Amino acid sequence: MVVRLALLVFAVSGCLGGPVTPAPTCVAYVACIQALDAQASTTTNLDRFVAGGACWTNGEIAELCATGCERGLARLRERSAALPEACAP
Amino acid sequence: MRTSALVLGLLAGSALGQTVTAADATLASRFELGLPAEVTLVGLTAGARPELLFRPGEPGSRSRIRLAVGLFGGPEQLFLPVSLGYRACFRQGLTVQPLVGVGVELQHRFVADFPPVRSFGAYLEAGVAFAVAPRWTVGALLTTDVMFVGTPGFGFGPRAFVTVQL
Amino acid sequence: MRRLVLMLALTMPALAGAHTPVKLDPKVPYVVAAPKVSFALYGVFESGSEHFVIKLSFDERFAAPVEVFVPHEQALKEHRPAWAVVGPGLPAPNEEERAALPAPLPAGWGAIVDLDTVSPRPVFYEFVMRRFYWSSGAMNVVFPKGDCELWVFSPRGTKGKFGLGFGVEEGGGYMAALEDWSFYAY
Repeated sequence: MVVRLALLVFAVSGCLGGPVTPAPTCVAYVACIQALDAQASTTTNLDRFVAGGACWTNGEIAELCATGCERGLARLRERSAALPEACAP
Repeated sequence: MRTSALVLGLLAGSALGQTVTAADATLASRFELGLPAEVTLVGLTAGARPELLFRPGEPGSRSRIRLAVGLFGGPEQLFLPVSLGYRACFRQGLTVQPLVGVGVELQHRFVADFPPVRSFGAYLEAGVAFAVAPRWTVGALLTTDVMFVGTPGFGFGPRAFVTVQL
Repeated sequence: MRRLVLMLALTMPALAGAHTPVKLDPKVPYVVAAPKVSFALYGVFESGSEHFVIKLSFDERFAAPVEVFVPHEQALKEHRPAWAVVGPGLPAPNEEERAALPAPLPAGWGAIVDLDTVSPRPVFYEFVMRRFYWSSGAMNVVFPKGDCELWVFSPRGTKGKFGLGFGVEEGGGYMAALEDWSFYAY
């Protein structure tokens, strides 16, 4: 019980870094994936990366997502031929 | 036989415990220096946390103001806490002296390739000291902390200490 | 994924069973029940030749970050486990990645491989266990609809503990950390 209360205290304090604006790398990543989806007539769940998504609840998670988007986009650019314009640097 | 043993035991207890002398009235005698060895079980580190205890009241009173600076090393990190708090030491003058304390603590954690992690919060400690010689005690306690400013966290660990009244 | 899951889990007992931290067994593929919720899985390379397999199944194409991390200890300085998402419809790996994979790809399956070569090595601090880790660096992957697998392997044959992190949506319980304290805390 003590452990849970303590964690609740710092859960609140730790998380109250407040919402964060989506990183530019993720804005670009989302645009690229959506363009690829349009090309292939598919849909991809990108909810966490868009504004209001789980990535942007605090700074630590935002940093994780920003890195993920940056490296994910770089990987696409390295390995995929005929990428849509939305994926260009 | 039993009476003799009882008298001897009482004499031994009073000799080992604090007796009020003129020396106790000096400012220096209000200070105690402690050298605890400690292990932190959340974020494994081990090290020493030297502390200075100040007795604001009369000899035999239980209140102490505590200042401690620790240095701990572990497989992953270097840990440096600074604490300021209050400790109540009970049964002064007797061999077995329970103690309890509370205070605030500033924590720093270091690794070579990451910025220092800083936290501020509160600690609690509880344990027992044994008067082993005039002005000397040894003991052990358990300490726990909750950090709620900066990087949050919760920790606990055992501490063994030796304290001398200056 | 790393911190939010641990933190919320201990304050949400109702979800305690959903995502307890799991010690992976290289002999037994681990099936993730709810892959859209973030999870962290842990294991140990005892010999350096282990091949850990995590099975996932998605009802739609799903983009999420993946990373592998190891404790920030001098003894693990060279320990860089790699991960791969393997499944149908994924691109073919390049020659270096294909050679590093611990097993041949099933017919018709491609792989997105991260050989954990980012330098300088990213570091993060996990505040619940108060531990530092080296990370492979998170990388987003679009998981295909249907069945796929996450592989974790040690291409350089190094030994030691590792963790695999996936996703960012808040997950469930880590009460098992208290049941096996020494494995997750040290």
